[in-house]
Amino acid sequence: MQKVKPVLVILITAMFVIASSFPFTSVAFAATCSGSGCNGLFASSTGCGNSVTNVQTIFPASSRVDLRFSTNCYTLWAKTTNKDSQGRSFYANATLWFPTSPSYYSVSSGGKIAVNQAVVSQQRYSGIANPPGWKACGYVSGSPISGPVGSPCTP
Amino acid sequence: MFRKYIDIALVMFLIVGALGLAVGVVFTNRPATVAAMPAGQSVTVQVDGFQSHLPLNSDMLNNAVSPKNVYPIVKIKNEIRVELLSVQIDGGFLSADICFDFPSDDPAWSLGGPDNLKLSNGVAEIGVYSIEMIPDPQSGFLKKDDKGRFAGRCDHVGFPLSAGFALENLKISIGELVTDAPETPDCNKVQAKLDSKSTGIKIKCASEPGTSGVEIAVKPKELDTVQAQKILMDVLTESADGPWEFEVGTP
Repeated sequence: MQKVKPVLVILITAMFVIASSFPFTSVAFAATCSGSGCNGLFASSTGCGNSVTNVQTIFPASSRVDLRFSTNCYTLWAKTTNKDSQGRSFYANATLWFPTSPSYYSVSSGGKIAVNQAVVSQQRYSGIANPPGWKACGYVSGSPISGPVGSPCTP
Repeated sequence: MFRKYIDIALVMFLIVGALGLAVGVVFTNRPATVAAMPAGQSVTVQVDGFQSHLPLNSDMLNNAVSPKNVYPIVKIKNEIRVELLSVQIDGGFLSADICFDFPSDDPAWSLGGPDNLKLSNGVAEIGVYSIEMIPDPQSGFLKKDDKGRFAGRCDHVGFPLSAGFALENLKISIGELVTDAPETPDCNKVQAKLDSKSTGIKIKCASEPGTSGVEIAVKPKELDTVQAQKILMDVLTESADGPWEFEVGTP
């Protein structure tokens, strides 16, 4: 019993140290994919869309086109949102361009989407927020759009 | 005999494990430098032709007359600091580098769109066309504080100069800071908020892959679509009131 007692004291101390460190660690958003395993999947269905920031944005007529970055998966994707000030619905396309094969992911809306609705491309693992050669392109239109779209694009 | 060695091994294992974790925590929470956001600790003010460097003070900043073309220019409103780092003209655009602090630990904070971030000359206004993040050198994207929380960002923004737009009495204004609409909003929470405000709006969330956003399924007749969308966006996103206004000289 005398041999076990010091071990218990150390064990309890160690557990206390471990437990007390948890409140200070960063909140991690659970994702169901990681690294290049996220390629071709949608951020919304993998948990990568839970913590997002826009890396690049442009505002073409009646719309906005974002290059989105997941801060927990380190992936990028394109998003085009209908922002028409008159409340009109439009067809839309979002295309993500990147330097390696297959070189793009593109999604066009099947029908017109309402204001503040968006089309979102599949995501691609980049590892960093601003890799050179990556861009988001897209726009909204009264007519169906067949992708991929090459203009307008983020800077 | 063996039990003693087992005890020693157990203790060593626990100590190494705890130390490893502690190092990990310290590394994760290391202070992020603000090198990407050269937030000067003094501001240049100009009164009757004299310039002086004074300690940063919110009231002083908001009442100060900043000399044009002397950067950075710092504005603080509602305890939120926004900084104009530089302004230049390039390829038909007036561009500016702007840094701002986040009101909360949310990576989605932004400068908003053309209806919120504007360039004016007292006669006409031009809405922003492009926003490009200037990555923080520590994190590679957003500024983080010493607890690892998202704390701010810097952007390179562009205003397309239209023909006849006079480059005088220039002012860059930010009406409010806003969070971008989330990719996967919690529809039940959004609906509950709308209900608590008795808006009469019922929503339907996009659920198909490749789509995002919240659709208005039902709205009161007295609300037009644009009004209903504004109410919905107010519930869906956060905002912090400004304005932050920067008078700038001709670049």
